[in-house]
Amino acid sequence: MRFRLTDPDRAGRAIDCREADIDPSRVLTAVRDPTDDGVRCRRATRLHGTLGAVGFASSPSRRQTLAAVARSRGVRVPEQEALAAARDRLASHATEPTNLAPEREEVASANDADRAALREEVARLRGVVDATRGGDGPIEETLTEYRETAARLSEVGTTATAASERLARERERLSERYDAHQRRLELEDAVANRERDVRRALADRAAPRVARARDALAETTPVDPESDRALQLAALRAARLSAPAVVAGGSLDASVLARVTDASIVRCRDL
Amino acid sequence: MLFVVAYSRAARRTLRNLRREHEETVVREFGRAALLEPTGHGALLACRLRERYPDAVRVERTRPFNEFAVPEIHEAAVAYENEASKYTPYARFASGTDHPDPDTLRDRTLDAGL
Repeated sequence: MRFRLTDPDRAGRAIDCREADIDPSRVLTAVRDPTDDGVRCRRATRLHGTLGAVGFASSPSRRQTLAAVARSRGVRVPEQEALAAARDRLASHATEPTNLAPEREEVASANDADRAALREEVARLRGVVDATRGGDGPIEETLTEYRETAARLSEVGTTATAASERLARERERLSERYDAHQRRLELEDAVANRERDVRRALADRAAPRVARARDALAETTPVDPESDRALQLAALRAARLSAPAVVAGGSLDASVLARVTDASIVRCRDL
Repeated sequence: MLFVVAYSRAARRTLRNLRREHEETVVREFGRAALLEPTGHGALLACRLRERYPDAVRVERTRPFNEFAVPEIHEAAVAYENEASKYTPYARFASGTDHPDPDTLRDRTLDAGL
């Protein structure tokens, strides 16, 4: 790899940048992001997310770590077929939208304050018309206004009824669609369960190899074999990772880390 | 109250998180469904869920149920529970009595006020 976050650049399998005081997260981004020119190296795979960062705030679970080791070595387990089948079932399961927001909005707006205001206005005009009826009869303008307002109120009422009926009809129609959504949730759960099966099976397959790596590590370094760090380093040793691993903190320097993990390493300062 | 049902894993996860964060508003949680208080805050949570998962969240408004507002149905139920043997279907129990038959019950829509 070529390490370009320091001046001058450095090259090699084991790079120590502790004294440069670069944020370890910055280094990690540079390794993982193929468009980031800070570290030129082989492209990081998805497994780098599980195995490629040692000594960072969040570390993956033991099972995730072991499963990633198996994946990096191309191990296949029969459980993967069941997972593929479950994913196919989910992918081919169609659901239709159940969102009725437009229909609800129509109902709400057809019933809003305008209608009440219109109703009041009709009542008021009606009063005016009635009051003038005894004398010379209502003024033609008032009568016309009253009729128009009443017609508008009735129109708004019709719209509101139609909107409510449409919403009720759509709700009824959608209740079947919810069945399909419910089925999709079950299929999603099935996929998650099969993924767990695969992880467990892969982890079981990798466990002996990682245990041996941990023993080897304990013989040659002072790292506590029961620690998370020992598991992560042993996993690195057992895995086949293309991009360099980024190690923050700890007692080992870059060249020792590269030797015991048999991986290319960037050794950073503590977080 | 507001009855919220989640129809995806993501929506279900969010619903569970809401229960943890807003115990005062999420009255009860049943796996992937929950009852929210009929308050502005309950409405806010329901609206947020709808906004985030327009097709994976169903929201209904519930009302307390008063059996005494549907006396003939209530009486039929009480009689059926107390008088019929365990193996008598309701249809057989109701036939020849004043109790409503199953078709009548199915076709009857409850008043909005119940």
